[in-house]
Amino acid sequence: MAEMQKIKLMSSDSAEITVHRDVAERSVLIKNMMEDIGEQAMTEAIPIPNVNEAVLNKVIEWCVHHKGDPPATNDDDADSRKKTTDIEEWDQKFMQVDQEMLFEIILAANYLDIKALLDVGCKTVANMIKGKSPEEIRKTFNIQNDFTPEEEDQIRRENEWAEDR
Amino acid sequence: MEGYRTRAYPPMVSTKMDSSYKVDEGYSEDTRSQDDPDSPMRMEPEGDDMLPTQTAFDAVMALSEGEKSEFVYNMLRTLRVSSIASVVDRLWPLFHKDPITIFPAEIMSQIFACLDPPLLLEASRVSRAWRERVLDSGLWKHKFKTEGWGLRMDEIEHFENNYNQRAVGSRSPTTRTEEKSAQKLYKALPRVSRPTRQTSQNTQQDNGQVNQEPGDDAEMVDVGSASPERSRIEPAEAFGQVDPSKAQGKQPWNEIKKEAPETIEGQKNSIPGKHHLAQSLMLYASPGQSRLNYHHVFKQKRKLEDNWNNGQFQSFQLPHRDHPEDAHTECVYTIQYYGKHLVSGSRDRTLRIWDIDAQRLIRKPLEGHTGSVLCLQFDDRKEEDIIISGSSDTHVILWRFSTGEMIKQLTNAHRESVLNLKFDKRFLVTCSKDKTIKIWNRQELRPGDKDYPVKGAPGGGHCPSYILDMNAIASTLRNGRPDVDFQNHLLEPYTHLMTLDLHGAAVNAIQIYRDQLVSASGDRNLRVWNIHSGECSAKVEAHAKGIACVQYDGKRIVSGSSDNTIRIWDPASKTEVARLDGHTRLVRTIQAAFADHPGGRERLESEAMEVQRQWQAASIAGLIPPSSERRRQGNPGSRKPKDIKSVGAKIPPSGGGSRWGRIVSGSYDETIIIWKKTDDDEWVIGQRLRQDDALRAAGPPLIPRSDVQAQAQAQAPSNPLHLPNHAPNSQTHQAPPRQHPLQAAGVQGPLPAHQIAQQIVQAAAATSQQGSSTHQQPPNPNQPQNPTQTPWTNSAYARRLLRAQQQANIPGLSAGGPLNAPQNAGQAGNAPNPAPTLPASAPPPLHPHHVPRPGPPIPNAAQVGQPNARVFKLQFDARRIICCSQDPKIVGWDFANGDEQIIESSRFFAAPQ
Repeated sequence: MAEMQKIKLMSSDSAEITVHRDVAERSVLIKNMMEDIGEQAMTEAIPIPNVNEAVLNKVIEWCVHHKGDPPATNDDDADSRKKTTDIEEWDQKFMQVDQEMLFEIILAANYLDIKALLDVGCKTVANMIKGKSPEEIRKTFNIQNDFTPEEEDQIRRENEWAEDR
Repeated sequence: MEGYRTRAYPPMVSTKMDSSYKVDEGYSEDTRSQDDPDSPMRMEPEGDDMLPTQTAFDAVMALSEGEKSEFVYNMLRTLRVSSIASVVDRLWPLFHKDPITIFPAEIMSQIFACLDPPLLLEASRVSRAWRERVLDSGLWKHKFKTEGWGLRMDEIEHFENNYNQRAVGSRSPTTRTEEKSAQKLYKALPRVSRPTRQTSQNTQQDNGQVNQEPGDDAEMVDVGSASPERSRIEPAEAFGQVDPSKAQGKQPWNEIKKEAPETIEGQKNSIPGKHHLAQSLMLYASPGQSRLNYHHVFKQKRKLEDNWNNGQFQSFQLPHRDHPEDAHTECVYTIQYYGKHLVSGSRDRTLRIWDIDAQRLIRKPLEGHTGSVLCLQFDDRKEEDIIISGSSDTHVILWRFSTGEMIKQLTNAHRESVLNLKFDKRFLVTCSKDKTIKIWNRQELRPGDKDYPVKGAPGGGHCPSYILDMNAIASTLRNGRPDVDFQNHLLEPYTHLMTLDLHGAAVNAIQIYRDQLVSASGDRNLRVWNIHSGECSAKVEAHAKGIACVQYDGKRIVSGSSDNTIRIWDPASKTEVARLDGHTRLVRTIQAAFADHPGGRERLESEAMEVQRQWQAASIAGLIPPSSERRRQGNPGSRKPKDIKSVGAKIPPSGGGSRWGRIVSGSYDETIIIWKKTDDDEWVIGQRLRQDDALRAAGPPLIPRSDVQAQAQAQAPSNPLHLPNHAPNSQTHQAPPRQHPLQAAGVQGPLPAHQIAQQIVQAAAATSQQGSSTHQQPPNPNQPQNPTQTPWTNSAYARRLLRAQQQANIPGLSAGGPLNAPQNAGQAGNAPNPAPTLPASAPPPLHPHHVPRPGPPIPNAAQVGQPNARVFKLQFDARRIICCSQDPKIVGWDFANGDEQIIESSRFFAAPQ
């Protein structure tokens, strides 16, 4: 049975992870690889050189939970229909990790081409920005303010057009 | 273990922390630094004395991740709390990383795409790197679309190409790469921008007018070689000048790019002014590769929208004040405009083609109709090059737009006045006071063509005998005997294909949307038809009185009626989703733009489902009062369960769309209302514009006094709108008035004009104070001062007074005629005053149930200040409303409000939909 096929993935730190093929194929990158290399993929571990074991496990956890989701569409309209930063509850919990892990998951989702996971990750970061003052954003992300006070003033005025009047 | 805890570990910790602390900007290295064989802590133990430590260290490092972390925890617990705190402090950067240093640009863009513009601009204040990324042009292009705004991509492409062609030819190449120079140059910003501020302040003194800068900086660049008529490009230095409070506002990122070349090369003032100018609108990449800066365009669009919402506009008129000879000689029933062209049709039987920017006719009036021109549509594109007009003379005329010549006349297209017409590439559709709608082909048709009429469908339209029933023929073909020679049944363009005759009164307005046709009639019904077969797919009993105007965008129908309301309909479920109360008389003309977010019908349906779900929940919980207790005056779009009038619609209350949705309506109450949505998605009056104010601002009256008299007499009966007179509670269905327009003309004789004129001058002088207060706009402190206040106020007054008196002196002139809004006929009968306009100083009445105005005879004194400014037709685009009325002048409101940057960008804004 095709769904029960298992394949092996090799993380950047040389850990081998066994995973159901349909779970792994949430990743468009892996799916395409499988198509390209065919049966060989069943026997040899597929190297995922940009993702370490901890992150890869986390990504697989997400893929397992979402394996029943309808396939991603390329329909931008459908995406924007969802409220921009709404995230379903399970995903919210899933994303409650430290920043390092969050960013690594996003990078991995980007590399592995898992659109829905990338979306969730980006929304999570967006929510970390949302509703914060510039100073709070700097604190959240440990950013140095490299504007002079005059520049800050200028920019603030320049931005006034977007305020609701 | 005890040994190294006291001796060796502290330096190790220190080393490790130092290393991680240093690389806190270099995220990926940091996480792997423990394994780095070159790391200092590996090197350090090589000294002989360190051997025991080395061993201990190796031992620790050999532990698993879990064991190590347990070990470090225990280690930390041996420290004083303050020391722990300091360690935690130093570890902070490990948990807080600047995503911009980690993510590639496309991921940052995706993150920022989740944020609304105000949040984005907050984020742009975080750091230079953030600002650069946030102001990314592509991001704002995306934002522009998600707001529900449209871009004219053809125009943008055209503009960019022309700009780049010019740039390559005229400008010395710059060697700079903006990415590299940006950071460095930014530091010079305050210095280089200082002169600019001074200029801004100078300009500010000119009452916010955007002026040319003195000296070199004043050079205006002609970017639009493609569109010479709008060739001025705003100097970048004028950024934000229009609003004096923001006169010093600058856009640092753009400024960097703008200033970069001269600063880097130390060539101050060596760059020609024109090089500066376009930078705010265009982003420079390399010679010939400049692209539109969508952040700038977004900003201009937003400023323009704010002007709409705040009533900031400049009014203008056709004709130009210096050329009154261009004007129609009688009232103007219809207009349409696109780009810089406007075509108008008048009671003076002519059509006129205008250049809106020049405010001049572009050729002499088009003469050919023998009655009032009541409706028209034009398409000035080369491949179409056509105007089609309909008239009270029952004819339809086709004109060549580019030459003004008559191409073809559809003589007696209807039995009575042609009240409205619409065409697309395939069909011309006309409707008439004769209660019918007719469909005509615009292309040659053969039997079997896709657009060949479908004859004989059950409930379908009536086709003339020369139209073949293709179904019947198909059955003969099956028998192998095609007995029809198709070649003999070729339909020339503009052949009458079909008549739709289900309406019980005059058909006042129609709209084509793809294969659907929507009609609005004096019989109070809206109908939706299949344009191929003529089948009526929906009949909506829409209003309490006749319907004057309709618009359909494929998702909702919007209609305006003699019951003074505007209503929005879901054609699928035939339910009313919103009702807009605000006019006090017939709503004659309407345009609606819902500014839908991307996502289309599905999005609307899911919103409607959500509303319905909440309604059902509230209903089950017993929170919905019985329908009799619910508010009867209609729902302007509230989604609260208790306000929902009907469920099952495929579109949400209000009709859906974005917060930028807008409806503009014109009425016989002589006002134009700009409707906008509240945060709760309810339609409310955003601005109320008085047609008479615009007319007064547009200059002295154009019609000589003696003509006013004649026109005042004849005007009423010739009014093209045909709404039957229904008494509000009447059970009987009165036939619509059939009075011929000319029958009533010239019957009555008011006072000789010169006598009236004398009285008028006196009256006007006596009441001028009252008059000026009468026409104050409802609260709108920001509205620019009327630039044309006094010189002819009295004469405008006199003109209105004259008309008022004439009307009062002509008993029954309008009361029984089609002009009269039916509510008057219902209750006021033959009241001598046919147009009981409210004194304008009274606040707009809020009628919960719209009790028909009784129309009592108003004393003459109250009629002073009563203009003839019934609105017949209006149209708006991203920037302007243009409107025609009982006055020969066509007036407009330009919400760019003189802001050159908005004007410059507005060519890229699609007309709202």
